Amino acid sequence: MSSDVKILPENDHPLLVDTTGEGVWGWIDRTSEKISKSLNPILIKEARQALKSKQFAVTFFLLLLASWVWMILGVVSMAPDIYFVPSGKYLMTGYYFLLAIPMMAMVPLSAHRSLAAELDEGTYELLAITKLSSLRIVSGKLGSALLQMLVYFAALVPSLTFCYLLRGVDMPMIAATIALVFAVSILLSTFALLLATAVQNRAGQIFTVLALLAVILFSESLCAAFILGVVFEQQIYWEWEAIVFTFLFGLVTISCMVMFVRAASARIAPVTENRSTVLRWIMFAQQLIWIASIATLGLWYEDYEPVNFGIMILGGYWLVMGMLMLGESAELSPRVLRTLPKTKFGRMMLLWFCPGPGTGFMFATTSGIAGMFSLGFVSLAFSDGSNVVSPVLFAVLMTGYLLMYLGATRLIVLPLARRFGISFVLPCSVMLGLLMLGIMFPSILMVVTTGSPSTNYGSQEFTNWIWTLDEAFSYQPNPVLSAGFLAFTTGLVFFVLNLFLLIREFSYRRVSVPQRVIQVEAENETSIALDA
Amino acid sequence: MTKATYNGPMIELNCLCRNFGETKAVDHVSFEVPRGSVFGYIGPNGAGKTTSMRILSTLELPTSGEAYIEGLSSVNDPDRVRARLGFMPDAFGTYSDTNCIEYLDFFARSYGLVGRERTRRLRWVMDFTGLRPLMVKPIRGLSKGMRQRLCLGRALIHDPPVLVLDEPAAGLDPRARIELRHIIRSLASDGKTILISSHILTELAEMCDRIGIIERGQLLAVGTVEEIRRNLQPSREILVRVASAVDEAIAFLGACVSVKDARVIDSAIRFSIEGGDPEQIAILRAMCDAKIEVLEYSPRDNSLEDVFLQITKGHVQ
Repeated sequence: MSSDVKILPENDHPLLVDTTGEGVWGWIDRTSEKISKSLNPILIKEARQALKSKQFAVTFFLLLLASWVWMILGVVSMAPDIYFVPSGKYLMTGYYFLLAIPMMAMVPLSAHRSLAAELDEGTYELLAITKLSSLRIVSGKLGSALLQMLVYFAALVPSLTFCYLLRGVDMPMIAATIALVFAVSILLSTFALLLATAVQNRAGQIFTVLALLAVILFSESLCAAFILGVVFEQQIYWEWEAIVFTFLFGLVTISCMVMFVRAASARIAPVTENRSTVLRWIMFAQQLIWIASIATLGLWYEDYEPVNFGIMILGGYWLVMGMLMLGESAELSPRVLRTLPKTKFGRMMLLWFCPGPGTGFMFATTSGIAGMFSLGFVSLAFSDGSNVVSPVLFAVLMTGYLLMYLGATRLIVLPLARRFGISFVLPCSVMLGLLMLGIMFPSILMVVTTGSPSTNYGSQEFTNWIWTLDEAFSYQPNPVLSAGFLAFTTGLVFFVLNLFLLIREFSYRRVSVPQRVIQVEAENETSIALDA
Repeated sequence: MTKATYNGPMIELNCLCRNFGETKAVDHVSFEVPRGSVFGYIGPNGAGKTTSMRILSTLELPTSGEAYIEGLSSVNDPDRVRARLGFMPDAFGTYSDTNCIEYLDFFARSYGLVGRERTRRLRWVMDFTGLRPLMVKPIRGLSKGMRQRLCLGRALIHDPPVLVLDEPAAGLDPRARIELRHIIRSLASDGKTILISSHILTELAEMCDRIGIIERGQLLAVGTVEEIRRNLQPSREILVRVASAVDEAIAFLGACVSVKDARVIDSAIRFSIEGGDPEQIAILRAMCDAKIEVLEYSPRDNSLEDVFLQITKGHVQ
């Protein structure tokens, strides 16, 4: 190393050369540089790495080879009918599987490995001290996964064209297949990124890889069943019903992708950052999309069952989200305190969106209640006519469970967190234990008092959520009615008990920005103005 | 980034504490480093050096206390701190299928450098660290010394005013260490403020303006090597060689008030003297006046290693 810097010729590596060339190539060079300014550095790095990696090269060429082999096999096995009979569909089935394996398995697994390796091998810390935010790091990884998908897809485009020329497949069929494979692949990649951040040690990462593999297998089979059964069987209809539901459930999928990416970036963001507010807004938006989807479904078919299903999913959703929010720290960094709402009105309306287990509990319970009752009230607009439990009663039951299990979890977690420290593992373990206990408790009570477990459902079984839900979906409104009100009353008691423990988090006040920060910002503004 | 108006310490630790369960990794550590100086952070393994450096670099949170870079809190304004800081950790991972120039280019982009500014910084770092001949070599194939250079280059790529270097000389051969010493002095003379930890104390003594000695999370001494030595050693040991009449010289020194414990070891006279430079000069002048033929007159100061051993107890936690 020498401090007497010797400047060597500049033209020894393209990265060391300024983009000042003349002519067409110079223009291309300058334009590329301009485009690269707005690109995520992670994407650029990953693309460079991927193009050199053996894994990518082997997968790409195997895909090409497999598509050629399948084409030759198909043509040979179907000859001479291939000249007269539309046979594109049969070849297309094989191409779907050829495309699905790299896109829905290799890409998510490689996205998972890429982020897990950053966290595991110590390179993430070097990234964390750059200007890249955790969101840019995660979205860069997702961008790289998208790029890989495009390259794999490009390898199969000639084969898909070949299928079209053979007839038997039309454009909507091909487009639907491609769109579905891309959507599932992106969803799986975002989920893989979230799983990569869940555990940051090698032993734990083995379990996350196994979980990811299970999800990939499940999704591959579900997607294959849909494509083979619906798309290839020409079951796509251009009707309003299909369009509206595809749009609504497309929105649900997109909101899940956004949630996974945001949650992954929150997991790796420094603890001093506000990691909750954006996630809570996404939860809020997801709830709105879900309500819109289920309400449309209920009103369209005038059926209580999809509405009850929607309420059950909403109750489960807020139970899980509330449980995860209970794992947040009640200590807010001054950085977060600087962003608290200023006005009384702001505090009243927006404090629930601020980090903390207490605000999280309130956010989950109030949002859950609002959402479930909204769906319940939607059902008042029509009459089902069947013997199904009314959605309003179902909302009462699910609200009771939400308040009861989440409230009890919080009451148990509060003292335990002081002893073991706060993390999302603690509320998850407590909640799991309580849900199991809720199932077993009535049976234990019956065995103790009568000597044998109950075989008939009664309102005393209200803590047994599995049996109660089974009864509710089995056209048994009457016992569910009393169980619902018992669950609701118990839940209300837990909710009120929790309210007394929330006061501390609601007394947080906004703090002022330090003088030095104001000074630095002023200096930055001045230098930007001077540069301009 | 503007450097103009801030005149306070570039690095400041204020009652910094970090506990891992029962272990106090950093225990109320406070010190300041002014602009353009090199601060050596010395301590045995597990003393808390890396933890406090990681807190400064926004990678860890303190249990209590504050850490500031250029007056900005590393806890509450981490993004602003990161723009002003270059951190070189003691161990760092690299990417597979990446060469030196791509690695540095990636970090330049990650620090928001664009266009000519990026190519200018890349060229400067490549030349400054001497990596240009190896720029297309895969990182996995680099030697330890070259990887250290690369990591230093990464820390310098966005031209930060503050550098935090955790054991940068670990595993380097003697030549690379000497080169590292030169580069650190050169960076300090360019106005960069450097916090450096090392186990090689002789080198730290030569390159650091001030040092801090830490053990079991507690900062035991802070100051220049000379200040710490003086605090530890109120009396200074002097070695004198005389041409003849050693007994006369011993008798003369024994009569001096400020001289203690005068004795002959290996035909040289050694004695302790209380006080600083003026007392030392006065004794030499008095010996000359007494016609004692002095061949050599030199203070025997403790080395940084002696100081370190004297201050620390070798405790581990």
